[in-house]
Amino acid sequence: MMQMQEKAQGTLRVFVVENHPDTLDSIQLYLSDLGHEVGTAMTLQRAEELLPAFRPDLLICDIGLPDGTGWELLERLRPCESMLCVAMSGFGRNADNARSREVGFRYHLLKPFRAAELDAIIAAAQAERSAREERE
Amino acid sequence: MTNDGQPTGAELIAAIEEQLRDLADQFHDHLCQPLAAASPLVALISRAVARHEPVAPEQLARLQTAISAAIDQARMIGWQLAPPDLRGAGLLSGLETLAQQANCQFVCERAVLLQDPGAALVLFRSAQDGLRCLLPEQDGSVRLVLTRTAEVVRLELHARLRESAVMNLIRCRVLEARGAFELFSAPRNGFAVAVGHPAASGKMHE
Repeated sequence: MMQMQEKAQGTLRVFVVENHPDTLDSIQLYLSDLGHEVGTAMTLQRAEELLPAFRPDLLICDIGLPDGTGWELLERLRPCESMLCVAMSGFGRNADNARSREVGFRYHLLKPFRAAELDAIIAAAQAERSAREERE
Repeated sequence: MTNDGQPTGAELIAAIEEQLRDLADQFHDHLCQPLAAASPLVALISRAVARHEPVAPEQLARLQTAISAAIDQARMIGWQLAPPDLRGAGLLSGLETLAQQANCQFVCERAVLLQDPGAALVLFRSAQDGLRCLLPEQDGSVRLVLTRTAEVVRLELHARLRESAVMNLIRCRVLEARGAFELFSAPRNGFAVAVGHPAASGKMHE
């Protein structure tokens, strides 16, 4: 019972934007197995459609998308403070941290990443949400 | 470009930088992506094992697919960086493989069996570098054509190519081998390179 309560408290709404289907599936499986509620999109347009209603605690977004960039997504959405935004990009490509910070990404996951790096991002989002809930 | 048609040092450095960026893109698209897919799956399966829970067969299948893709791509990148022996029939099979990887047609009507590894490498690298410059949408079929006369072996790439500093690298390679480089009249319609045939006197005509 205690374990279930802890899990429910730590459960996040996570939205993942990634155009590589296998990578997206793996991240989704991984997060779902941890008990998080996961929404996904493979394009910028689909993410724009789904994100406002999903209202995630954590957004993990690939920078290079088939119809635009993760930077464009954040510029258009203007995310609120309650959403922790994490950019994801591959080695040698679009790893422009300054641009990412400018539009509101607070962390950068460099692909391929270790599961521990994803865990650290999740922990940060959980900590932020707990702090926010305490303030409220 | 210098007065004798050789690329300058700055042009060659720009070409090398462009090649390194292309290589980084290749790593990202073909190697980082399957590894990015495999990494969470390994953690997921480890977690299930630690909890003494059964591992879902589809998770194992996904992991196997991701690792298999990464192995194939690592081999391909390794092969492209250090091609196998290109002497004899090696050049033909190397060019055929390059054409398959780039989804282009390879045409060679008369067998070309070069014994000079330097000349074969010039032809192979020219094809490889040229194919990396393909524009994503081609009007017609992309063709790699290998022909020979008594004096020269000529390789032509017929395709729409992006503006690229790598052309200077191809030009430099060919001129170093005392060969000839020709950019087709329309600027983005491909190029030809020719190197001397070892059966001939060693000199070639442009």
